Amino acid sequence: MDISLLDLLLRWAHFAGALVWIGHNYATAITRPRYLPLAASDLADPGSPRQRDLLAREHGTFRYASLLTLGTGLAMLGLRGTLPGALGLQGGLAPIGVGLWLGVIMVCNLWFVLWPNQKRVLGFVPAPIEQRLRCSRITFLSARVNTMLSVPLLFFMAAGSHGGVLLP
Amino acid sequence: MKHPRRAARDPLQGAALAVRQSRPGGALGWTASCDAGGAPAPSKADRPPPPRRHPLDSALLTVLMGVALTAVLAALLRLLGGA
Repeated sequence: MDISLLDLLLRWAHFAGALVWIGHNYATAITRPRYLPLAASDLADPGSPRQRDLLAREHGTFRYASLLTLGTGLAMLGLRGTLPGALGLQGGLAPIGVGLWLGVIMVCNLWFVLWPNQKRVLGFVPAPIEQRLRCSRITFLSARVNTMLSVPLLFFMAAGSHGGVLLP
Repeated sequence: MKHPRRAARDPLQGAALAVRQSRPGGALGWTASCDAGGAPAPSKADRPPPPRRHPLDSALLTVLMGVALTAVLAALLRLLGGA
């Protein structure tokens, strides 16, 4: 396959994955701009409205979309031979390198902080109510950290192509 | 649906409402009664306090912090340049 066609397809998948992943975060932030913490009664009853609402949103698509986004981003840089330079924040690759590192932090936050705690909140992993309540606070903060990091991530993704002004 | 104070005269509902009226806060108003599906809702004094929100939980604040972080990182990049 032509390299430029492959690059185009990767970029397409990269955008689609980012939309699903970050769009999930933004939709949650918009629909719940003032988050109401879970109460013990919400978690004690598996049929409670809050519990059902949590389970309805837990479909995993956005977690796998995060892997697609990171994978296609790395593949694009690798295809061009600019991956080591971006990882090392070298020269003109520094802006996209910052975006790359932010993306890595966000994926690690999602898979190694948010998801293990979310499994306890939803009851996939058995835990006492008090621990599940603590975990719900951690998942909330973890999701908000990713929402916050997505702002500079999008900026530096754009700066990768159009951010010459950032460099001295 | 009857107004709760009128329903209090109903022999079937009156007893439960009379209990509510004797509690702190008195009888339920029309809105609270409708929220409870016409049935006497638990008195506010009986409900557990709702979980408290943290003042930094606002989504708008999250976005503003993201913008501030962007400015800091862009300034650092501008100052330090590519390594």
